[in-house]
Amino acid sequence: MSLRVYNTLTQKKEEFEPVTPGKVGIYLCGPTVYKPSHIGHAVGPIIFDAVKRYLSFRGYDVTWVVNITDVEDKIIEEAARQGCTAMELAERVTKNYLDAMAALHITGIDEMPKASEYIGAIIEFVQRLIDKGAAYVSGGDVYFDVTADPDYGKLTRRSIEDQEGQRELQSGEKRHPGDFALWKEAKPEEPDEVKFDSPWGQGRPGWHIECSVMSTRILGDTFDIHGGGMDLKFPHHENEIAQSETATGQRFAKYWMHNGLTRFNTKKVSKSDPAMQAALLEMTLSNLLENYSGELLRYFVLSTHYRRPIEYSPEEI
Amino acid sequence: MSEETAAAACGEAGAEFVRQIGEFRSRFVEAMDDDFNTAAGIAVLFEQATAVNRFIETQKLEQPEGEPGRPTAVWAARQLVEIGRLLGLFLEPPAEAAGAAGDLIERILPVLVELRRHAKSNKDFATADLIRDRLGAAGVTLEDRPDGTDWRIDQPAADLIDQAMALLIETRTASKKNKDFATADLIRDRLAEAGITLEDRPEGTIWRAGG
Repeated sequence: MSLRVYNTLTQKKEEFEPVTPGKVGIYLCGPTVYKPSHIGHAVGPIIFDAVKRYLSFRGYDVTWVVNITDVEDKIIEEAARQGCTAMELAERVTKNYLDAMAALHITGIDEMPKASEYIGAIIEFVQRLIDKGAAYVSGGDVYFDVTADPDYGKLTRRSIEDQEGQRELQSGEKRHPGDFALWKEAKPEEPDEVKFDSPWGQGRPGWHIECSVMSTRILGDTFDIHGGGMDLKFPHHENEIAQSETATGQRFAKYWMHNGLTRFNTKKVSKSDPAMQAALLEMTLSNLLENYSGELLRYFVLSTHYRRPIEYSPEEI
Repeated sequence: MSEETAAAACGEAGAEFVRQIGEFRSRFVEAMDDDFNTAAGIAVLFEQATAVNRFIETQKLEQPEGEPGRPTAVWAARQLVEIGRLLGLFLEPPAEAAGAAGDLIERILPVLVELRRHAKSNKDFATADLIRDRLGAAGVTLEDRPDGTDWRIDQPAADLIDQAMALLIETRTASKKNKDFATADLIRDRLAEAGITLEDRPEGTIWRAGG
């Protein structure tokens, strides 16, 4: 069996050797369920559904996990805007996502853990990092100390000195601009349903931590493949590695598969009309599926190699 | 059906074909083994489809004498579907696509038949004959009976639908020129009832199957 996979971590094609012979564990970063998905959200699942089918054909026993981020700033904001609870919104959007997956014949996802169901596990994980001296409390926030990870930056080949401040605007103070939130203090104006009790006060998980927790819980400290769009390489995936390897002391994911992003490209819409472009790109999967069969969309996505960007326009389809 | 049986069915041509199909499978696996190159895999599927179609044509499998070779083609098509399903393709029934095209010609032909009847009742035998002849050339035979006209699709031209629609549009344009709006409207209305819309444009009339 000479299956080869391009690994972002090493930036070359490697001969695929699973951690446990005959078995493959795959984790793919899933949607943040604050609004209906568009074609970009479907690309990863379509690719990995084909990957799982092929790996099974080659004789492997595959477990594929896709997470659902149902606790997040954008959900809270959008729910407030719509006048419903965050959980209601999340449930509705999750259903929309699952319907789209079914229409696209994506049948291979084995587990879809939700952030809201992993709060306890996340708190435990964060505490482990604090105990190891890799994380610190600041006000009601907890931050990961990037200087505690000598390997930090190995996925995207950056050094800590290259770091600027992240896009997080937190209430506490960070020791180093590259430090990122593991836990965020709840703001008084936020609804109660998104406030979870923790040793550091009421709050909720930071953006990166849930993927580390869910993937290692379900697939083990070391698993085979971690997937996601190229836009997630930094800071999200880099931070996942730092969190996981510091907490477990083990190598995190062996192979990192990053897929190209979807580029909206049509001659019909002039480039000087960004609003129109944005509107068309945001066309939801539900709308697309009304006009094109799931199989056609699958074919469209798979006819481009997964690492390359997808040129998306009505003409292309 | 096993590979051996498939190969035996058509003699030497069959054996070579079966070997080819095996090769496609290997090339697909090669493509996917190379960092899941689905684009290359799909290209192989296309090649395989072309090969199967060519085999059907050269072995005349659609003619009565080609019957013994059909199972081989079916076997090859199944191989293609099996491989395609690894990409999650060929899970939806293809009947939809074929059915739609089949439906369409069944909706257009009655309009032509009625147009011919209407022409004959106006003593416009030139148009009536034109319709019969052009359809005949496109592989559709009209049979006039006391209670109406039947049609038989014998050897349809590949672009039968386009030809039929072109004929209807031509006739309508000519009618309008002769100020025979009754005929022109008849064509447009019957087509509309069949779910086909005509759009008059300066450069010509185009048609669209709606819904």
